[in-house]
Amino acid sequence: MTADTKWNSRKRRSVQSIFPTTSSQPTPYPTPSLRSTTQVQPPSERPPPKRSHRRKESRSAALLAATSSSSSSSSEKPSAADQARFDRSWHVVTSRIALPASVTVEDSFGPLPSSQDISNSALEDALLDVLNPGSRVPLATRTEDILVWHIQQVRQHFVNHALPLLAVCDDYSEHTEVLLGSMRTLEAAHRQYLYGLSLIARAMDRDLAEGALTKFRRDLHATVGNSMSSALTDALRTVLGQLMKTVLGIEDSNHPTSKGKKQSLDPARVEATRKQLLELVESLCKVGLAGERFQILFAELLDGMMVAYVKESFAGMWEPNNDMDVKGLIPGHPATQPRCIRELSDWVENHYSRLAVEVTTILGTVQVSWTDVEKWKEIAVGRLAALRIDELFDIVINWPDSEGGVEDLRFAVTTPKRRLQLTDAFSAALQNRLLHAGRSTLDILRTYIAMIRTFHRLDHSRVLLDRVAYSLQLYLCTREDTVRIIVSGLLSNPKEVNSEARRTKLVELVELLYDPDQYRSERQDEEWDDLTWVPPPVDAGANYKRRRSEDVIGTLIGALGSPEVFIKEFQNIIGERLLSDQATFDQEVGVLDLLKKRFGESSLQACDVMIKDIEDSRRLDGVIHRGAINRPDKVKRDWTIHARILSRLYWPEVGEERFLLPATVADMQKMYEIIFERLKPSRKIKWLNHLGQATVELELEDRTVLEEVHTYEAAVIDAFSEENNPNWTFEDLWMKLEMDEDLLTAALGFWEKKRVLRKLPDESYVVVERLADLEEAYGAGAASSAGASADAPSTPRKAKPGISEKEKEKRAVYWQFIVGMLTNSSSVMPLAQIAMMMKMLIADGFPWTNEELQEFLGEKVSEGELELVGGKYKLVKK
Amino acid sequence: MSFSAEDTQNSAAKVGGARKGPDAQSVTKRLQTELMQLMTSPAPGVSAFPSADGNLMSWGATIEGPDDTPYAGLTFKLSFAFPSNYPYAPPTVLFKTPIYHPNVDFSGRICLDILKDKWTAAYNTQTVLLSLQSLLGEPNNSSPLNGEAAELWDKDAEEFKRKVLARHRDVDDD
Repeated sequence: MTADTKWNSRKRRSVQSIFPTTSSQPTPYPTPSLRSTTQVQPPSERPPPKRSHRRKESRSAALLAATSSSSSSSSEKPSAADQARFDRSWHVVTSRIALPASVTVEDSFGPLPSSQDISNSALEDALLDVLNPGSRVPLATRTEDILVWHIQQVRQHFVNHALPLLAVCDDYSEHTEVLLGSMRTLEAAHRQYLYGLSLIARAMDRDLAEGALTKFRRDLHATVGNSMSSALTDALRTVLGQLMKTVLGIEDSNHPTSKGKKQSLDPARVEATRKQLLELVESLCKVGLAGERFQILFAELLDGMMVAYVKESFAGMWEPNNDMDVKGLIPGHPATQPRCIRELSDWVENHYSRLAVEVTTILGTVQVSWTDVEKWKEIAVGRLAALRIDELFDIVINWPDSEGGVEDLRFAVTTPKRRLQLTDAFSAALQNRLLHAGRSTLDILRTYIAMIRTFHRLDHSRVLLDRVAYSLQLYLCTREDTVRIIVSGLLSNPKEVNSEARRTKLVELVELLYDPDQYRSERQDEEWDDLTWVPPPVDAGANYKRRRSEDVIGTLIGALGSPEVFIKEFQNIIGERLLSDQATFDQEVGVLDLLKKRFGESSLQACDVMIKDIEDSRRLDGVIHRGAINRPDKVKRDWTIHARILSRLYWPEVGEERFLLPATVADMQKMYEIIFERLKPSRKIKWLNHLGQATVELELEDRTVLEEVHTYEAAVIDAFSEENNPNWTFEDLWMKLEMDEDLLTAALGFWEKKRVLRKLPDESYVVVERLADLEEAYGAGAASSAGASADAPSTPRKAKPGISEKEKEKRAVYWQFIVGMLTNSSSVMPLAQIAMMMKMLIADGFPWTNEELQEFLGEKVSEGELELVGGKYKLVKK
Repeated sequence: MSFSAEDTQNSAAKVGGARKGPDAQSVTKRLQTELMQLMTSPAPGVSAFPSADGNLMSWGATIEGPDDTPYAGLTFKLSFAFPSNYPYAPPTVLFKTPIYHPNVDFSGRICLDILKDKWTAAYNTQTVLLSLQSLLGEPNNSSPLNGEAAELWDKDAEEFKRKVLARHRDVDDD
């Protein structure tokens, strides 16, 4: 039998070493026998629970053996009896607190033993034996700590039974169900586990029991906390997230209510949710799920909530702060916080921190201090800044309806790092959204103006603007119409500001031009009496200059490179306007005066002369007319010519188109010239025939046509009035008038459109004396074609096949350059080098491309002036 | 005698170098304007242009020998080096083409008052070239750099002409 038992025990041991589950089973009832040494030894029989445990246990056993050996070596019997008693007691206790092996329902691990069992005196006795083997059974050599055994058993049970149940819970589809199921399971398990402990604790000292309980809890929580599945974590995240959102007043993003319109949540609901949330946390705490993982999860959620709240509540909220006087703000001193910032800090203080404090209090591990709250506020402001930085481009576009957004940024973006982030993000947005071929120059300029104003509000030092505007300025330089748009914007009528013209013109500039705020003079030196002086920002560039006003126009013009470019273009446009039949030029004079303030008298002198020319011409014209009346012998009856006399040197190049004027007009011109030269002996008139206006009255058979036309158009129709020649071909007209083909085509087109001329099938033109003739000639179908041709451009084409006078002059100068170069610099030169030299040396710039230059040089080669040897040009020696 | 002339020229260049002005921009501008002037209203028989390396401070120039002088039909290359305080100091002008002339030494240095103490800012490249052109026809024999030439000019025009032609050869600077 002994052998059998031995074999059995050996077998069991080996099985147990592989399947350690059996340790949760109660120790078998030992046969009461004196030869207890051969008996089953409960403590040693169980597999080692853990390495550390085992070592400690064996050491204590050895210690016990050592201490007892002196006294027990004499009598063996009492020791055997003690051992048997301990074993028996051990069995009684373990069989009582053993956990049920199988579980069927998730929330019950078998019924709890009835309470009357607890009062069982045998158990009490056994417990005392097991707990205090030293005093009760001093001679038992193999004793063990029942608490260690229990925790071990609980651990095994949790792994084998609770975890599978939890896994079942994880499969639920609803996050709430997952969470609830898991919680229920864990609570039941806890109840079960704690029951065993409470039995043991009953027989212990109060302090010891307290300690044992705490230790047991800690161990259990560690076990539970570490076994949290990902599904449970997800569920917890979702459920907790929902609750927190409600508590913190964050709208669900898929909520049907319109964004931006914040509806205040029902306070009762918020309170209920808060309670629910805290209960949840509390129960999590109880079952041991409130460990480190939960804390990390909670922290992540809190962080996410802040981002969500900032986004939810403040995205697109750029309304200006009505409640504060923006004008009263001292620049650079954000004394009052903008509305959004204020709201945000309120929220952090009253909602966010409150929740955090409440939850951490339950967790009991972390203390939220006031510095933490301050830090959260700072973080929240940073988040808001990040949001606003992302939105900055839209803020700029929506200026001035987005002042609030800019105020937020001004308050939040204070560190150089954030400023850099702001400019980087904005530059990127600029590249993506504005600086591409799809945007018109007008759009870009408009955005630039908005940028100047927005950034001025944001940062008076202009450092930020200079940083982002650079690429924009570069891009603007590639647009040819930039200067023209700005100048015509400046010259547009202030009455147009809110009209249709806004779509085609930069009319905003007019308002700015007359805005006195824009003209606060910029003193060059440091202002010693400036009480609002602040040092330049740390990230200011080397040649930083403080400016006070936003100076939109100055900045825009600065973007064009040099004021010279701008002034040149201004001169061109003002020249065009002065030559038009506008009656007064008050607007032009006004703009000119304002520009003078900006650029100085001298740089705009030419414009002054131009305006004076026009005024003088008016007077002079009157004088000449009076002079003509006094000498009726020389002057024909209707002396109807008026001239504007321009000082050649001060006007932009107007070009010259020659053609023959009708004899009567030419006579008048000659007369005018004579009188003028008598009045101004030192000056000489050169007529620019193509720039004038003429009033033409045509008497046709069925109608009279009165038109205000260009001189060249008048000259063309005059040709048809000659008695003997009712129809003209294009070639004949061209020969007669010596007019440029383009001008002639345009003029003929003009009269055709006016239904005064028509083209015959033989390519000649005749006057339409009666409109009925026209309809006859073309038939019904032609009427529409006549209508269609009305859209055709009436002004002469710009690209001229011939070379204008100016161009000819230019080419002569260029040729001089090339001759000079090949004579003196180097006698043979390749094309590229010639082009390079020309570009470098001609002060006004050399507009030709290499191809154009090559063509020009090619002409010279064919003329025999140059020769091309081995890819290099050289002068032909004569 | 020739040494003293050289010295004055050197000291003039030195003064120019020492006053490295802050207005390098204005020198460039002035030279560009001069160039433009030369190109738009060229004087007959003279021309000048910045050197091929694109350095505006050194120019090449050409003078055609005036008719009715021993130099008729010949062309002479010169080099101009402008100081950084030009036009407040004269350019340094040298004949690149070997020339036989009373006021020019064998290394091409020129003795001409307006290139030294008589220089004023009113002169420019074109006036210098025209002065040099007239110097070919009317050498200043009172202060020659080439004594033999000065003597021959007065005594033996034929021999002078022969020497001129013998000395002249076309240079091509590339």
